[in-house]
Parts: sequence; C-alpha cells; structure tokens
Amino acid sequence: MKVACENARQQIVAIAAEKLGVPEADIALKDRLVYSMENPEKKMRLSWVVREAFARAQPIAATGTFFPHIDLKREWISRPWGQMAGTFSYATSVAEVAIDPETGEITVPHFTAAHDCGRAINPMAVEGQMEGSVQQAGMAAITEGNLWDGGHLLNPDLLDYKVPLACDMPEIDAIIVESIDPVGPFGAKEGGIAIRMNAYSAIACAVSQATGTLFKEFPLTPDKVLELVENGKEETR
Amino acid sequence: MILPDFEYRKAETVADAIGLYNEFAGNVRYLAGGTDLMPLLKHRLSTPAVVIDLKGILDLSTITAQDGWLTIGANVTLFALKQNQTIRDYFPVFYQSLEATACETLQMRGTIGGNLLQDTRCIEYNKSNDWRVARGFCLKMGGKTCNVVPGARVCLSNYCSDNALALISLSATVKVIGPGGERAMAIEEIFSGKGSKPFALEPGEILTHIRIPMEKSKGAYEKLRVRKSIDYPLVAVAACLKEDNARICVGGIGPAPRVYDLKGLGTDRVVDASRSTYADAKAVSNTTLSPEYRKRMAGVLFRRAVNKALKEEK
Repeated sequence: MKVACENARQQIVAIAAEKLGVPEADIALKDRLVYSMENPEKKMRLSWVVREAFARAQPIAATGTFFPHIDLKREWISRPWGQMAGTFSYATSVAEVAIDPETGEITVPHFTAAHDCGRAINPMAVEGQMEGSVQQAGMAAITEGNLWDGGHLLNPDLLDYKVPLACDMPEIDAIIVESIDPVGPFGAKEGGIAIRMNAYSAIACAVSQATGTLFKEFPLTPDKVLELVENGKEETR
Repeated sequence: MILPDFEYRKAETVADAIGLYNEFAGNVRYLAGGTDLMPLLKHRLSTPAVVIDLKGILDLSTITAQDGWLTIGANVTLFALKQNQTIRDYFPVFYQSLEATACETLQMRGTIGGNLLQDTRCIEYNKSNDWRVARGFCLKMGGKTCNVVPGARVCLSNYCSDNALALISLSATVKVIGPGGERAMAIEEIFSGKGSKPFALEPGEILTHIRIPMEKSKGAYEKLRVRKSIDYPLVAVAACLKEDNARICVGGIGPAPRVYDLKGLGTDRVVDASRSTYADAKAVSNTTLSPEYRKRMAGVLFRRAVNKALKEEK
C-alpha cells in the first residue's frame, strides 16, 4: 500500500513539475494543493493535476509490491531453519479466571493483553484487533467447539456453536507496546495476531493453576471443568 | 434460510382467530412474537397453510391487578413484564426468569404466551431440512427412531421456557379459549409430558391470560448455560418461598418441568429434596453438554435456588 502510494505520488509530481515549470525535487503536496517549495506562489490544485492526467489518457493509477526478506527454502519439517518472516511481533496475555467449584462454570473478570505491533498507525484499530483476538482465542477456549455424532456435525449453527457475544467478554486492558520496525511500512509489524496465538494459552494456564491439574482438550465447558476441579482435589490429597 | 409459502391472516379478537382456525380446518399456526415459530417454519419443522397473527388482539396486551390476582395478557412482551414494578416487588423469581430469557432484543419481540407455548428442543431436531434428511427423521418428526437414544420409544426433547418454571413456582393459572369454549387450569397442567407433542391443549386453543395470585413472595431463579448472554437453559430451577413452604420447579431437562412442594425448609429437608431432583432428572445427550453433568447440576441448582431465596428472606 505504502509503495503504491509513493508510485502514485511520483506520477502527480511529474505532471505538476512540468506544468509549474519547476524541477520535480522542488514539488510538495499539502492541503489538496501542489506547490513549489522554492516559490510557494507557484501552485495548482491537486484536482487539476488529476484531471490533466485523465486528459492525457494516463489517469493516476499505481500499484506497489513489497516482499519481506525471508528464506523461501525454509520448510517446517524437512528444513526447519532460515529466516521465516520479515519481522517478529510479540505479545503477552494475562487471564484472570474464576471457577465455580460446584458447577464448573468459568468467568473471566479481567484480561490483560500487551502487544508489540511495531508502530501503531491507528492505535484504536490495533486495540480492536487485540480485543478481537481475546474473543476468538481467549473466550472461545471456554465456549467454542464442534460436536460430532458419527459423521453428522451437531452444531452447524450459531445457536449451538457458541461464539462468545459482547456480553460474554471480560474487561480487557489492551496495552500497545510500540517499537519502530526498520523494514515494515512506517515501522509497523502487525496488529493482534500475536494475542490470537497466546490468549487461549493464558486461559488454559489460569484454569490449570486454579484447578491444580492439567487437561488435554478444549473447549473448557463447565462439565469438563467440574471434572478438572474434582481431579485436582484428588491429586493434591 | 427462506420461509415457506403460507397465507397470512391477522385476527383482531380471540373469536376472530378461532373463526379463522375453523375456516382453514385447523391447518394453521398461531403467531405472536414469532421468535419460536419463525425458525421452526424456516427449518420446515412446521408447515401450516395459514399463519394467524394474534398480535392485533389488543385485549391480550394488558397487565391488570384485581381481586387478589395479577392478570397478564398473553401478548405482553417479556421486556414489558420486566419493566413492571408489581412483578419486581411481588414475584422476584419471575423477574429473574424474565431477565434470564434470551437477550433484550428477543425479549422485546417475544411474548409471554409464546414463551410458555414454545416447542420442545433437541440438538438433533432443531436443524435444517437437509440436515435432518441426511440424519434420518426422528420420533418428533414422525420417524420411527430417536436419534439421541437409539431404541427409545418416546421423545425426550427439552422444554426450554425459563418463565414457565417461575410461573409454576408462583402457582399461576392460565386461561385458554378454543373452538370448544373457555377453560382455566393450573399452569403445570398444560404439559402433556410427551416430547413429540408437549402441550395438553385441544386443537385450536389459544392461551389468552396468565393469572398469578397477588401474594408477596421470596424467590430465586438459577439457570445453567454456556453463554450468559443468550443461551437456552441446560437445566434451570425456579424457587418460590412463602413463609415456611416452598414450591420449586426444575426444567430444561425433558419435555415437562417437574414440581416439588416442600413443607419446612430445614437444611436436611432441602438436601433430601435436591437428591430426589437428581434421581428424577432424566437427562439424555440432546444438548451441547453431557447428560450426566446436567443431571448432577439439577440437584446443585436446586439447593442454590432455595438458599438464595432463603437469604433474601432474612
């Protein structure tokens, strides 16, 4: 996207420089105007440049590509080494869970997520991604799972396949930890996926710690959690 | 999913609706809020030729307190009931069950009459036509076997109304009007106990009013579900205490709620009763959680509901 914009800008600058009779390096764009930095009196509306380009049958249109420096020969099993990604983002999830010892119901009063997303170009969007990750991984670990009866999927609908709704969500503290990536556009890395990768681990660890026992299956529906609570009691005896 | 073809008629009085019922020889379904009926139609689980809309019957949209009874018209929405101060003050168990029903958007649409007369549900029944054709039709669909319990002779689908349990615990009565005339009965008598046809109503009968005796009560409603935001109960208990007596209703398991009348509320008495709840609960694997768990929770929620209501009393 950033490269495409730069290419589009280059096309605008070329036409404007020709029209204003100044070198391309002297052109600047601001407030929908194209002007000369040396002599700001020399200026024209951006819309004129666009119209001019259209009249020349060369409308302003640009594409751009970016490919990170990765080792394309890398493969998970046969060649698990080499650079796997252009950059690496990091995240930490902290889940606080309360378990009803009689029914096994889990409630999550509070969830804290911190995420190194590079530069947060739109911080509110990054927070939204992080909260979405807490829903899709964190709360989903408690509710979402497919049920099968032979080859028949028993919950192919959103009533029985239980996606957590807004009222099921915990209080979330989303902490953005900025670091300026040298390669990513404007120093950005990614938003939210790193939380998506560890939010369920946080819930799992919290439940494991609370019940004092390990488990091997999601989702953590109350029937399974009640079993854990009881197994945990036996193990500590 | 697309609705099937049917004719739509709107009734303005109860007599009107029954007239339409007779006119179309009973091949009709009554529509109130539609939150239960619409999905059934879309799934082709009900295929009436005519849908008779009862929402226009204004007589059924009022709540009145008179002669020691609170009379609720069947067309009153769950949300309107929740806003009613008398219900909050006199019948806490009912208020809590209204609060626990679905979400507010659905409460604004759904009516109390429709909520009481909702069809029983099963994870192998409330499915699309294609799904059911692939799986094979079960007893409730007119087939020969139960898909949940192989070899079962009767349907064990679950009755999922929250408010019915609360109203039973409050000793409410209902009035029904049909082609054969008018009758009143205790609310627990509307259940047939059969999953394939859960209500003991005569063909064409319309539930018009619910009447609750105006006595201040203490109560609590306990509901187990995976998502607190919206789900149907996996098991639920309504408890209503009056002096030293309690009427407790357990539902969400099987086609009809079970009623327990307790005299005396000593701890032993409550624990004993909760044990019989456990024994009585015939859970099968027709919801998202295991039947053993739901059976066990019937007893747990029973004790909880009574204790919560007792605490309120102090």
